Amino acid sequence: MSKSLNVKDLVTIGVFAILYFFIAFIVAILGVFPIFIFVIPFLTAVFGGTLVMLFMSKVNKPWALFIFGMIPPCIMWAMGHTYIVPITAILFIGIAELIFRKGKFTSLKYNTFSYSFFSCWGTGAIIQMIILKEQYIKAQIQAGISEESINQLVNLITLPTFILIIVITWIGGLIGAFVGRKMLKKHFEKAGIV
Amino acid sequence: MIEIKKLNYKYNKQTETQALVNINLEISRKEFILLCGRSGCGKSSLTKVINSLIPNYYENGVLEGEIYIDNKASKSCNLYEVSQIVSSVFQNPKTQFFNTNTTNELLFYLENRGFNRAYMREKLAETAKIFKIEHLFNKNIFDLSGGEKQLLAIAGAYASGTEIIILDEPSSNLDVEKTILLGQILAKLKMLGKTIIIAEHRFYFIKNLIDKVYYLKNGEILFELSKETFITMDDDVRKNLGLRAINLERLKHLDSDFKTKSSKQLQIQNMYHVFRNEKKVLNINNLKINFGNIVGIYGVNGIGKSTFIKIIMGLNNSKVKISINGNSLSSKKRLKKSYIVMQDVNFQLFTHSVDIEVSLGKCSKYNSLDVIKVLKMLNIYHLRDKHPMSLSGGQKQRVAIASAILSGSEIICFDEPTSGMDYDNMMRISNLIKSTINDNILIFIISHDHEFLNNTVDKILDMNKFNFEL
Amino acid sequence: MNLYAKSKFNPTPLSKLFVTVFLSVCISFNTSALFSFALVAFISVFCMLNSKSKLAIKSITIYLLLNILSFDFILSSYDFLKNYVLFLVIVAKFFYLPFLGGIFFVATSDVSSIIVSLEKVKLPKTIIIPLSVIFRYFPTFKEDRKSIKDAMKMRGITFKNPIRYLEYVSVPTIISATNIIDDISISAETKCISDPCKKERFFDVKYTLIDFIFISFVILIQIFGILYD
Repeated sequence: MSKSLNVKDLVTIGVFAILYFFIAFIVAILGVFPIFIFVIPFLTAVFGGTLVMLFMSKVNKPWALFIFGMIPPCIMWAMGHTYIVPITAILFIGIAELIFRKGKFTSLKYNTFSYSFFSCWGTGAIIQMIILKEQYIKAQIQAGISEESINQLVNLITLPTFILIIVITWIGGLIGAFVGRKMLKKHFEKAGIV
Repeated sequence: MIEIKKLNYKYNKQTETQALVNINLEISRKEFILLCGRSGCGKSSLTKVINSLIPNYYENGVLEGEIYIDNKASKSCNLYEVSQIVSSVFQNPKTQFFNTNTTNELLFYLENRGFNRAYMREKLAETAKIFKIEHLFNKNIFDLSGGEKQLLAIAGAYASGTEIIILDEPSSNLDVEKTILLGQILAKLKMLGKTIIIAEHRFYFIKNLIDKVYYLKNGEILFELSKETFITMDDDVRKNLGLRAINLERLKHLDSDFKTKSSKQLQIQNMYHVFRNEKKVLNINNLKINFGNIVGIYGVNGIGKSTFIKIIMGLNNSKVKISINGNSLSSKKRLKKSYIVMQDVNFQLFTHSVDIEVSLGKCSKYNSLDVIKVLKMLNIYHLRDKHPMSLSGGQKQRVAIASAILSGSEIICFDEPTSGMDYDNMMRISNLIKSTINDNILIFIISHDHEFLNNTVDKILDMNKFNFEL
Repeated sequence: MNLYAKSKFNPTPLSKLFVTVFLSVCISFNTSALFSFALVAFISVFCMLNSKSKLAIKSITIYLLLNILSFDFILSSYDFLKNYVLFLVIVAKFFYLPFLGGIFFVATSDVSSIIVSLEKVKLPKTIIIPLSVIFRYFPTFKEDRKSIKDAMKMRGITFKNPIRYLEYVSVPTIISATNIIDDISISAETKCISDPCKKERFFDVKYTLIDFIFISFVILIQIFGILYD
């Protein structure tokens, strides 16, 4: 079997990217209640597990996971998110790709950990809020709010929170991967599409 | 032009079943070849051998024998090298395109081959002239009807300029009118000197174009027929071979009355639905249908057959008043009482075993014995532990029918249940539907298949009657 | 967004992409309110020139509304809910410009032009093909989702039991997606997509004066906005 991506692999990347983006989109609707913003990456990690685990079992070649994973952050970037989103994604999806390769693309154990890192890319959308925190605190002060009341809201967004979000998301990735493995076994292997 | 010697093929190293057995075939330039036979006889696989999807795309199979296309051994060629001689048109107009813009799709082959813009412009003009499809250029493919998409696919095959055009059941998703149009286009291609190979179930639109017919069974070419013998074939002989009608049957039951005059009656009042993007309405003032009948819903694509059914079922919120025996029913209540067996049955299978699948949403009046009874009646009892998605198309359809019966639905609709079906399977589903009906049930069938409708329904509703220009 | 059209006032997709990315980088600097508004107005004018007047009016109105809202709350006493809304307003205002750029990009670029311009900057086909497929599959996905929703309604599968719902919805969705992967791949392969030769696309994109105007004005306004803050 050749190691370079063929047309079918590339089409698979495109189709699965839509499905993945859709899951992320549905979860992101929760963001209208900003309190939930912090659990969005976690939930995306849990619900995306089945799809990405299936993807990993279908396309066993280098770069496939990386390209697949970079599409949503790049689209988000093109639609107005900051560069912090793709940069975070490169970091985490890069790690995921390396682990995926390490397991020769077929080891369930490696794929599970690969996915848990993979799903951390979603934290980029929150990290950008933290990195740019100073900026909109300033904007808010300009708007005339007392610093005290702003702090009420932005106190949540600190470095420990930010590490906590990544850890929670990573655990969400593990949960998602286990759910995914179960679903693969229960449905997709039996249906003969893996 | 095409020469196949001692070809054997199976899709999988592990399986016993040969998809193709000892195929020897020679097709010369400008011939029009029909491949026919029952579903699963290997005609579709044979088309895949000729366009070299076998072995280039289906990589897990085992292929023996020799294939020469235009004197080149195609086994040693890449898919894109064979595609420079052979163009392919497939069954499903919805899925067989790569672009979203019609002009892009039409010229996709030429772009990929590296032709320059001037040549493409020339080809585009030529194709527009021959097929009269200028009005389809630079449009969103998703706005085209199924027939138009299929027309575009064939025009694309022509624009490619390849000598051989191969078609795998191109008519299965088209209505009669569009199928006949498809025949006219194939006639043009034949006149232009193309070599055409077509695998089909329906014959009426190509019967005058055929040069040679190959009949396949269990992966083997059983015999070869000339056009004359084929079109004058005795009706009993063709039924025994599992073939569909060679001529287009005249539709019966258009003016007939409901067969069963049961006391239970569905009444549709003031149905009014405005089609989006079109200046048309579906309008029914008052229509009464007796339960216990099988009613065919007929009309060209896009006339609102599915809309009609969806409104009745409560899946569409257009204005309507629907009552059974005088009791008016809300859309929620109607949804509980009705069921549709979809054309793409993959959309309605959710669980991991047939057993659980048919019990999902089961009506409380049925117990597990009834489940077994229904599964046995539909001949899927032996599959009860399998994953529904692992079954064949026909088996999946029967699982969906079992769910319909066990959900206690009173109104059951079948959407194009016979597309791409051979005679045997068509008769099987026809008999199955007829055995399901009783005075408490009303069955609708959306179909373009004259032969099937004539064999199955008691009455046809022509949707033309309910369609009005705005 | 699928129809190729040459409009005199439509910058190429890459110019629009560049502007969006540029604006997203610039939000880490403070821009004076007047100049921010000038940018919103400038992009809105471009929307209008490309017959997206509705979008233009919407973008200006929403921007003004956000500004008014963020000032109106000065009066608010210590009230969590009000601050909360205000927080949202400020965040929305903060990310407004790059988002507007992104929306302008999506609303006025056709698929063919996007693909061609990405090919022109020598993006490899390992990226071009998945992107084309995204545009191709999205409408099909929407249609399929509708059918699956209908089928679930008929079977009485509702969100009351979310875990079961999610399991059930994923089966037909993923199966129909994998089916279409084969169909799309085959249609592309039989049309010689793997032919390694040099390719020329029928629809072309050319950089014109309008690209220059669009990019340079956005850059100028933005930089002055930062300098005069």
